[in-house]
Amino acid sequence: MKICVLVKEVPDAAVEKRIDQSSKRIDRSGEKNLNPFDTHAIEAAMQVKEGGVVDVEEVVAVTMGPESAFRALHKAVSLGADRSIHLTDDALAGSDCCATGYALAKILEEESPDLVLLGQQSDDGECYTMGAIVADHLRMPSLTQVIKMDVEEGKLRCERQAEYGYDTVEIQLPAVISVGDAINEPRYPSLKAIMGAKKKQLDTKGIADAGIEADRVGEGGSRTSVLSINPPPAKQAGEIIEDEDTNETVGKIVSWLEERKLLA
Amino acid sequence: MNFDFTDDQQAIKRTAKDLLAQRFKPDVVRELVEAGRYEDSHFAELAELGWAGIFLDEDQGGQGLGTVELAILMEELGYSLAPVPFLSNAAAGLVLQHAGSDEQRSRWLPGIASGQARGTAGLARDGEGALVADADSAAVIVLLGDGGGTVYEASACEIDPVETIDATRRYARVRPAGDGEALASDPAPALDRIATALAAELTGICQRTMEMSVSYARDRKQFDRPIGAYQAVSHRCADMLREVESARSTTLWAAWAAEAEPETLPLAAAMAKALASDAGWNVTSSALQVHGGVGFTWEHDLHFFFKRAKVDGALFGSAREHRERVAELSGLGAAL
Repeated sequence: MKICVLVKEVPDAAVEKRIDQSSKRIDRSGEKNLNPFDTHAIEAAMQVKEGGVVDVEEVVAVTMGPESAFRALHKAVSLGADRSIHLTDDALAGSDCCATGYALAKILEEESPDLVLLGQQSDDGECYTMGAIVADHLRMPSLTQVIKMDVEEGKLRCERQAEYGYDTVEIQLPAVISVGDAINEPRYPSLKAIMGAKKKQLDTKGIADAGIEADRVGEGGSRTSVLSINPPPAKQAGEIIEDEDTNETVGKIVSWLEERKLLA
Repeated sequence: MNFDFTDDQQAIKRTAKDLLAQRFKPDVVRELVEAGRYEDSHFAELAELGWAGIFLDEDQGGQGLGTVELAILMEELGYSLAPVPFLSNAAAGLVLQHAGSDEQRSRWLPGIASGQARGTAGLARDGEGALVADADSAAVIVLLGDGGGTVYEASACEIDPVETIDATRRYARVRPAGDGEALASDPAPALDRIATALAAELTGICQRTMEMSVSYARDRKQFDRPIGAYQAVSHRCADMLREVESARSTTLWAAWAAEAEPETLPLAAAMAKALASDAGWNVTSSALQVHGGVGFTWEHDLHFFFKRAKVDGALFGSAREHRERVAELSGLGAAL
């Protein structure tokens, strides 16, 4: 079995998120780190590899991003991935979710993985949809918000978190699985793994290497465009109900909810 | 000239910061401090990740890295106020690495590197160590003094716990009751590295208390303005930054010199320990002032940092002793 894990370099959690008003993109300057949600996907891959139920030949970390994104790949291999692929090209700058998903899928096509794992969201763009987009391009089944994953020969048995509880779903491989952060506690890399990360194979590819059509990526190849960015409307002051008589207070709260049709 | 950490060093720093922030949340530190104990699993995890032997050679079970990497870990351990027997174990490892005989190194360093048989080292007067960190849980104890030192199995010593103001670390008085083995050479190079490691820990403590102070000065309002807007507070915060940066720069210079320019290490280490010990006192006591009344209550965490800084400042030579050494090494005389 081959597992590919999609990872992303994002601004460090300690850096305040800002929008660059001229480009209308997230300002990604400053300290950067591996997307913390992706560390759960790497850990899930390592647990499959170390679990011994199936034979995992290799775990490959894949990212698309600027030159600096190699650091996210170093972190990914220090956490256990066997090698990594860095898709980087000026033509990719400004790609929206769909264009990014297409480009990543082209890399994955070459790798022919049995399982693609990724975190539920990126800590910067937070689109949540990358797994589904990639799966659509690869014609693979996909699950999101997976918080438990048992691998069997040729299939996975997953629990996914839903608003109403948990779904237990069986899915045939190959598949694309977006994992929730409740699935595991990611390990920390040992000093030896940190120092050894640079020695692991890292392949850098441009769009031509991966057969990516230039007019389907980048700002020009994206189907969405950001017209303007506005702050959310200020919250209105709430209504404070003094609890002088509990029965009366409950009645007021129920009326307030009924007026807004919030009670079934 | 590039003064930045390498990519690997940055990765070590980031990993250390993330891990320690996760393991040593303020409520965990408080619980351990109030119980006067360590959690064995904490040190075991650090040892598993290779931290305990970071500066030791690979054939001794270490990672083959240097004093800069040790200083990076020590700063983060100070920042997180981690109650773990890391410093004591590192001190023993440094002494045995630089002054131990081949036999002493091969006997004790693998256990120190793996964390399976921890060590500690302390300064001794009349053959007795008055304040030796983590002696009650060490397998090997090295007592240092008068340009030499003696290695004892812990079972050959009387070890009495000593309470200090710093409850984040355990201390003991050590009286040898049996024979020990003399070190093979002068432990001065090891003492310089221990002083550098302590300076790094003090830098981390200062960095954390400065951040706590600045955050408090932004949030806390008096007369409808954040207290940081008043010069009496903002000047204190600015002074904290000056002290933190001075301590860090000098500490990293000493750490760099340990491998790159060993002839400069004695002076750099003495300067680093003197500056960081003073900074530890000045920054943490200023932080208490910025926090006002709440700063010295038991319920606030600040006093834990203040107390560790005070004891760190005295361990392996006070600021005054190290300043005298700087004067001596600079040709200005032993005691001005």
